[in-house]
Amino acid sequence: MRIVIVGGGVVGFSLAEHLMYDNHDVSLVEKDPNVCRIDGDRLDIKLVCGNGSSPRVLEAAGIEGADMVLAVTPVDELNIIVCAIARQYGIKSRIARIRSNEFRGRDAAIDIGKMGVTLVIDPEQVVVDSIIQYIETPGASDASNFQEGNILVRAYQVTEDMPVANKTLSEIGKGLENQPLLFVAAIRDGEGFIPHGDYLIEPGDEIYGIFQRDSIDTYLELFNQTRKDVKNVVITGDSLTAVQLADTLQNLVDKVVLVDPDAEHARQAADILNNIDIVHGDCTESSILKEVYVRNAQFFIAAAKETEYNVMSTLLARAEGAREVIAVSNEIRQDRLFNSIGIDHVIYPRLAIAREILEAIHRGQIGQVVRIRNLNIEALRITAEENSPITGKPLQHIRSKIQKGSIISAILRDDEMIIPDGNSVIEPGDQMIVITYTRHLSRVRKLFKSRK
Amino acid sequence: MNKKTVFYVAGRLMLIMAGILIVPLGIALYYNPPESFSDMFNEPEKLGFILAIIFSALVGLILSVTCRSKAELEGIREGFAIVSVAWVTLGFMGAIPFFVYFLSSSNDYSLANVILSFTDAYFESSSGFTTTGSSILSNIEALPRGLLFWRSLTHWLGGMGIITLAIAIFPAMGVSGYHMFKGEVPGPTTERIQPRLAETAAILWGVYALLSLVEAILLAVGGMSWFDSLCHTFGTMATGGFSTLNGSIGQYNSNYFDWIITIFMFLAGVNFLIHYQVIRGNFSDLFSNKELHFYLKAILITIVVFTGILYFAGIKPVEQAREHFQYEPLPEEQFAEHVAIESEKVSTLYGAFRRASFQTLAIITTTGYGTADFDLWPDFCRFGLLFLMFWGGCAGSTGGGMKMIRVLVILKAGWRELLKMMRPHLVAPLKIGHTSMSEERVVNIIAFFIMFMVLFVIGSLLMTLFVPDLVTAIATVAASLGNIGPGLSGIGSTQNYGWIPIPGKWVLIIFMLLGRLEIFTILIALRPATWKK
Repeated sequence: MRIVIVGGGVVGFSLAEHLMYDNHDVSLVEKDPNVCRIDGDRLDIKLVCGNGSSPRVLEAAGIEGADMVLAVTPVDELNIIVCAIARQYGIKSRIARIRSNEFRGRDAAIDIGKMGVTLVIDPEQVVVDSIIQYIETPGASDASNFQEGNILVRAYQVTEDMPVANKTLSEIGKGLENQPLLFVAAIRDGEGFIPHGDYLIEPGDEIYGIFQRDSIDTYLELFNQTRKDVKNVVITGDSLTAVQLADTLQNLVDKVVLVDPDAEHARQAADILNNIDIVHGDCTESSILKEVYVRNAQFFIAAAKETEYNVMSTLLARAEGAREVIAVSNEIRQDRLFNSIGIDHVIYPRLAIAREILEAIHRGQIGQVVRIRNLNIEALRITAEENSPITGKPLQHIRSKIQKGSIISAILRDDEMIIPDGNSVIEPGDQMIVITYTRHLSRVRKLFKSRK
Repeated sequence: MNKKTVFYVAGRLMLIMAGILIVPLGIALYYNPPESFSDMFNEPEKLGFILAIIFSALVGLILSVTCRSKAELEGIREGFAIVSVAWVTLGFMGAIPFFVYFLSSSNDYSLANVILSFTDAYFESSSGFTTTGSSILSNIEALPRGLLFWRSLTHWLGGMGIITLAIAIFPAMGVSGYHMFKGEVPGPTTERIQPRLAETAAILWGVYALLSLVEAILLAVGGMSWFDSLCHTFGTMATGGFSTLNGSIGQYNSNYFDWIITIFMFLAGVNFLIHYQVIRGNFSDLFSNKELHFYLKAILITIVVFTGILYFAGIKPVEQAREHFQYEPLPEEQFAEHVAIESEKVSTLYGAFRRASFQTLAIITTTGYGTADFDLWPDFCRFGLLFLMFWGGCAGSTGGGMKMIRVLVILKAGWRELLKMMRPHLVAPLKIGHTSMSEERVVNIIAFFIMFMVLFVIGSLLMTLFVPDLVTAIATVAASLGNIGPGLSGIGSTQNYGWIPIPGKWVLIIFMLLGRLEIFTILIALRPATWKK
């Protein structure tokens, strides 16, 4: 595909990088000449310096004959105009990053589709969604969702007292006959592998499972967790993300407290939000954290604009007794530091947005790859094409073709998740979540590609 | 600095080189079939190619096996270093056939002659790859066909660039290739036509090959043998200048060949991206590209002025002309004949126009072919041509020199300063057409100009040590740095570089590389700090 990206910030560049390595032809438009000059040579893409709303600049970026336009500048208006221009050039797929909620969702005043945007990516919502992933499965060490949140992948650190400890996978499976649930990866002593039925879970292992949303509670019980525990959540931040998160969370938990360090912003938030306690205060002070009873909170989430504030306040909240802390960070460069100082989860909005857009691009095609903790195991969402080697026969007949160790963990058919066995037959158009080692990736992909 | 990757890529390029060397070997076998298999190793021509192939393949294999490293090649320093290392080593591989031939044909295996033969071979090979076209040979026609073909093929490879070719063939070099590409492609701007660098490189080579094919066919249709038309095409499209004949293109004394080659020299000096657009049916660049207009104007004015001067003033007085033959003097009778012929060539208005056009393009595009001995022309023309040696073709063409766009920017920058002195508050961005150029690029171009001139002066000063007269010393450096070939006086269009002492030849070799890789690439590689960890 030929893809034109407008906006060369973290979002634009991480998209460009992913798409380039995915064998797409990428052009990127950025208005800051310094960014163009310095970052231009890093990737094998065409970088055009100029204003993305200028047709001449877009033409220089090769918009004529492009298959897709991604408008991901921080400015809503610009992104909309880019999509409107792209429509005139006959580009089918026009994706815009839009912050303002006046343009999207239920409350939208106007139909943004008429302005030329075919898909809206809302950065705040993306961040909120990725935070919620952790809140709906408390205690999870890693989380990702497929199929618009219908299929979940969650990892847990196993301890002695958990029901799964010291059992083999087949033993656990017997108790869960009718539940679409499967363990797909295990990490022991820093090494990741795809486990078989005779795998004995030991305390200290980190176990990844995949399951349908209906089975959330069953899955959580296996790890001694329950959603009912999550009663109190404290959010801090002076951002739209914090407000949106508070708004979403009040439907999921009993009590949400929003601590806003900015007096003016706190006032505005109070105007929008109902049934939520809003406190004006600085969460890098112990007294404030005590005031909101952070020691009773199952989650403390820092989603302020400033990364430093988020890091400091989560660390302090942890010290004050919050069970699980989540920080939002706009800086990707410091990720190694965050993991080592005791913040449970760090959310990188820009990476999350880039991932969301990639997901949107790949929807329905061979696709999205989630790498499990850099451990050379991938969770891959893939569609079986017409006449591909994998279709038409019971799985046990083609087992030899599937690379050793790889598993087809789930078949997604008509919004239903099926855990396949040897007799399952894959039909063309079925989507599957395949767990495989990175080194087998290309060979696995071939199984799902149409034979020509 | 990741030296391993530098040598790894150099090794891969040598493997490509080994493959390319099979072509001239094939030509040699075709024109002089050996009587038996062992005969192949007795003839210096074939032996030279075989040794070169074995050596390139061997060194290439060793480097690509031992220096294979997983490290991603993304550094800027590595990019420039690779280009420099590649050009120096490929020049060496390309010199092997010449070396073997020179050494065995002189039949003198003393150390002094080994050094001389090696210097000459390296000079010839570098002159080929850098598309300079200056030769140390006095009798070119004596060379066997395989070597003649190889001489011209080095032009063709060097014209668009071996690394660009490698990027086009191995798209995997894409990401890391950009800095190498930038280091090799002439001109201050390296625009991507397609998002993928490999595609852009392939397009450039495709257009280059297509134009070459057209020229070769046109020359062959006009009655040139296929062999000669190919060799001359390589020399024209790369703006090189090696011919298969002692008298260059002038020896044909053909109207048709003169004009075909004049036109293709002109085309070779135009930005290849413009050719690509025109081939695709998009003519808007022809009207909007200011560099192209400047290039055209410079050529037209020069041709008109030269035609007038040549027609009205004729060639130099005989006594003055004799001075230029001081290094390889001609017998009086031959000299008189030579002067008579040259004088005859420009005696009619059309004759003067034909020679002025050919010679102007041969010099301004830095090709260096000759249809007339311009050293016998009036000093105004001689100096005019020396002046043109600095200009070169357009950015993104195969021409050498400073490139038209840089000359244009420097002229505009000078004029702008003058305006600013009169009106201090004037806001005057430097515009090419309707687009402003960033100050950073203006400064870069001025810096390039200064470097070019400083190197030219230093080079000329050095050459006065090895060359007895000042005009020749200056001309050798101008012709090498600009990748032209023939110069004035001692290295005029009927002369050659053979008589220059060995150290002088090495100085010129360095200047050819500096000129072809546009100074900065080589200077970066020469900085010791570049090679530190």
